[in-house]
Amino acid sequence: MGIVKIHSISKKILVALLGVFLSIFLFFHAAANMCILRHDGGVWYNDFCDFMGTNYLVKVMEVVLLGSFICHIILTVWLTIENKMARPQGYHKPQRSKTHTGSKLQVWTGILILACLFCHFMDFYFVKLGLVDGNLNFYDQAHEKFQITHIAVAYLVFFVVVWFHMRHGFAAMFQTLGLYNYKYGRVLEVLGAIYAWVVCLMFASVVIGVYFGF
Amino acid sequence: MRFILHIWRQENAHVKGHFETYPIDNISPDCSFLEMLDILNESLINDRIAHPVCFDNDCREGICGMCGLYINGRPHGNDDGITTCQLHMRKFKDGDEIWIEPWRAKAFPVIRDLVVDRSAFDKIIQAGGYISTTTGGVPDANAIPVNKHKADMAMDAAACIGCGACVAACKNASAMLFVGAKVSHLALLPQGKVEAMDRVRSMVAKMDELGFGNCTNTYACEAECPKLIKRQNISRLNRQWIGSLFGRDKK
Amino acid sequence: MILDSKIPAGPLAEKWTNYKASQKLVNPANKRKLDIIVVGTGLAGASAAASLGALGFNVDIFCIQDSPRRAHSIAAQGGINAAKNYQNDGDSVERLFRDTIKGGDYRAREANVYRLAEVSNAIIDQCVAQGVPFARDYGGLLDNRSFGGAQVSRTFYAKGQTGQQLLLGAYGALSREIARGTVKLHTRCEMMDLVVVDGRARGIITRDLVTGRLQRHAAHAVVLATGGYGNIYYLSTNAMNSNGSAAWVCHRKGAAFANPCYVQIHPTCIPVHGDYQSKLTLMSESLRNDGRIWVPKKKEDAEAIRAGKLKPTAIAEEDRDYYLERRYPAFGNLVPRDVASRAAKERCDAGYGVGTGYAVYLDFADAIKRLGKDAVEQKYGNLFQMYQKITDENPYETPMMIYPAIHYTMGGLWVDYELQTTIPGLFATGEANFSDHGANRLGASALMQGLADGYFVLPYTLQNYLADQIKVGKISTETKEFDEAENNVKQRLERLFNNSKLSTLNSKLKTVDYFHKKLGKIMWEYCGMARNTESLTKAKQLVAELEDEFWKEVNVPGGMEMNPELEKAYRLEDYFELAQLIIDDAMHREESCGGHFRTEHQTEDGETLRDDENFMYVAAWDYQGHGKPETMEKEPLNYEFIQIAKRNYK
Repeated sequence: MGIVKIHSISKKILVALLGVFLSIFLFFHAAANMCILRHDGGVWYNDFCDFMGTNYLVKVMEVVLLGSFICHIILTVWLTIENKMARPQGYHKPQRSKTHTGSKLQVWTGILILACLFCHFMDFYFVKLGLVDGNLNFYDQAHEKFQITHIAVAYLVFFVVVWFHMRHGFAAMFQTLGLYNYKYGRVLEVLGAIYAWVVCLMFASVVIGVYFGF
Repeated sequence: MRFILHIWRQENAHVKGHFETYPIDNISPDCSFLEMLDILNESLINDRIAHPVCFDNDCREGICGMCGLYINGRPHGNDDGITTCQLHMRKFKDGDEIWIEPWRAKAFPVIRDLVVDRSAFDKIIQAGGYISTTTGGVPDANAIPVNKHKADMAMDAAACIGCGACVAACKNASAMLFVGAKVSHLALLPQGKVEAMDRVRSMVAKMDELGFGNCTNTYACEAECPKLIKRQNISRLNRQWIGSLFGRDKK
Repeated sequence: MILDSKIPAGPLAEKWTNYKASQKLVNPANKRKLDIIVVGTGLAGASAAASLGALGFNVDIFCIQDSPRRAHSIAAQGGINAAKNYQNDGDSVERLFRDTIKGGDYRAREANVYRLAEVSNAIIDQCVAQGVPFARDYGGLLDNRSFGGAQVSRTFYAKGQTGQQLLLGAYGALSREIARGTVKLHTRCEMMDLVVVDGRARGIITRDLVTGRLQRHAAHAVVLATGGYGNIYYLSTNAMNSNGSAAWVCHRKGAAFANPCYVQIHPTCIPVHGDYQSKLTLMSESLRNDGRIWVPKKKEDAEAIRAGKLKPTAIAEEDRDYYLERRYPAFGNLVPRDVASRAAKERCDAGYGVGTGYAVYLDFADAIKRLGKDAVEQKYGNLFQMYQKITDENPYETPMMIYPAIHYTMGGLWVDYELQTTIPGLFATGEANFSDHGANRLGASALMQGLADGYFVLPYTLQNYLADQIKVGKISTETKEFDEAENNVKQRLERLFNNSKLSTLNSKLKTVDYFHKKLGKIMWEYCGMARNTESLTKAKQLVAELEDEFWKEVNVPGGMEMNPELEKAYRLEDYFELAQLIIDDAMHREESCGGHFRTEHQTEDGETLRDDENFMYVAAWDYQGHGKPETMEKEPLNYEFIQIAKRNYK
């Protein structure tokens, strides 16, 4: 870690900005997913997938996205290691201060998201890349998977975890970027929470919609 | 009242420490926490059981910032907006077990028993937590009017007593509230704005260098600050930091 | 011992200007070759070290706490005086000077006090430039409040934490010098002895409070800014570690000690409530701006309250005795501290006390009615909260209980106009010296004096002394004077362990605090708010007996490394000698003035009765060896510019 020197606050700012970028991506991802709910045999959705698979700009963005994702993880791991090192000997009595729990869960929700994401990629993304065999018609693939109860439930749990991660992430982002103040700090936090709700509900609606065949 | 005390004992910085258990009886509920420790020490000396427990304390009215014990999982004990010396035994239940630990942080090594070395805070201030004035040659006190709200906010941030409870409470042993309070205090005043960018840069660099952790927005610091310093000050520190990254007066 | 106060010639208002114009200075290139030791990091010490460091001198500063910011100046609540006259209410340097002299009951040195008033305005400018967040009004200009002993509003304040903010300002300036390398900071380091070489102060012996190691430090001049000795009373508003030892070891080495009997008792403290109590908490004097002090008019009401049968709020307005307003209609609740304290004691002694019998009420009901609860909270919120945390009573609903407590010591090392003690090269500033407050200090003047000494007086006068010291060259610590001083300290420390080492398990030994509490009780009882020949004679004997007992039975456990019991023990050892001196001084001063009240000398209505003919002087005491009575020199106080009058607050 000594080779690259980034000041603590700068690291956090990077994490926050990358988080915002990833959240924006999630919104577009969710919006695209909503196409699945159209009863058009996957015309819109598969068209969209085609576009995503062939457009060069999208390909560049894909690399950027992947890079952001990896940086987000590396930076948070780096921060976490530093944080552990800042207190070599812990307390005997567990902390009883009134705190925001989201922050303590953030690392764990992050790890969970990473694990879930791997499974999710096994079904979709890796198939597209040709790393795994599977149905390349993602519209069918989605209908097939989401009608299996345990997969649908697993995805819903995944979205809850994402919601947790995003909700705290947004609140923390405003603080880290210095936007949280006496006047409109709370308002920003509420807006962040609404965004997290919207994105996660969009995702969930697709799974629920497909499962119940709406 | 009677209590069972579990106290961290450590002879000096170089040896390992451990908990010792001392029962104590006949404590008045109006007794302060440190007075209770005085009574314990008196009995340890009189009965020659052990060396009296060392703990930092001085003003005993909550302003010097010298005292600081981690009591049953909370810095300064189970009450809000107070220091350890302002904690009274009436806040406990008769027969309670009380675990007393020193502040734990890499930047605050234990010196003896419950005494830790907080000179890291002094070093952060020395890195720039002041307005560079020399004695004399300053303008009249009323030459620069200061917006009352800003002056009040500066005062609230300046109320920090440097006790280290924020670091002790933080799961990452981060000093962001301490640094944020000082940066805010000075940045809010026109006198402090002049060197605000250099200040935030050098104070944060020093804070990192001394081995404090990073802020992960848990706000335990805000919850435990005996002077109720708000997390808005950390946000302002971040804002100042971002400003300094783009500032023109960068060295 | 010759007392030369070195007051410059000329009219009062020009003395300081004349002094500065004719004093000697040190060439900038030579400044870094001159070493200065500053002991103490309170307002006086930190401001002095910062200013001297900024000038370019090579400064070493010492404090016993873990950080310079812990010094007890931090606890000052109310404010700092200055003659800015921002309120247009008739204030001026002249008036601040007169108020301070009068407040001190005409026992302070005119020239010093005038200088203090003169530089007071510069202090406020300096502090604002340092970023001290003083209270402001909506136009952005500085706000003032009024304080005891003055009829103008001249007190600048930062909430109820003015001392803290001023100290943090000075600490900031000090930190800057530390970063620049002109000042070297030594924390957890206690001065144990002064080293005098050829009649000049040339260094100190310190003890590292963590490792216990003794260290030698040499310098061309030593500045003592170690505060007062109020802790001799055990229960006081001082911090636990405040002590008089640094000043006392200098006294042993030949520095005269002046007016030790002038001890200030603060009228508004939270009353004593138990034996285990370790300190008394001050409630700011500013509370007297809006609070009204009273006790029940009828004795049976007071008894019922003490028995817990009656609540104070149940007592009708006409059955309350607002005794300050009754006795002193002109100043009312804002009389100086000594007057307010004695009045409270008089009522309690007469049987009208509440609580444990040693408390009076400070009532905000009227203020809340007049200004509203919010306004009162805005002004005094943090003090009310502090009171509630300690006493578990809500001062918005029931009146506060207060009682006087030891707060400040006007006496201290004798210094001349240059703040130099009778040992050349040893300077004393702030509460450690005796110079500016006479027999009683006015509220918000201690901060003013500490900062005046450190920022604006010492940087001049010390240069005057150092001007010819460049010829001396670097001072060595390897001399017989340093050897001797270090050995003395070593022996002193070892002697304290005698009992715990030699005794067997069943011998009855007692802790240091046991003796300190006893000493405090003796002093408070017989040499406290009121004294007389009889009580002082008794105190003298009791202190001597206690000292004997101390040496036979004190138990100092542990060893040389970090050991608070050892620290307390050697500080207490010095207090035994100091106590004798306070008693002697109180005994010889056959008059009542300011904080010194001899019951033999009072007017018919219980006010102080000065004897200007015989006692208008500073009593400077010279140490003669342990157990020997000290000799006294008089520095006459010649009031050339002020009309001496009876101190009248009616």
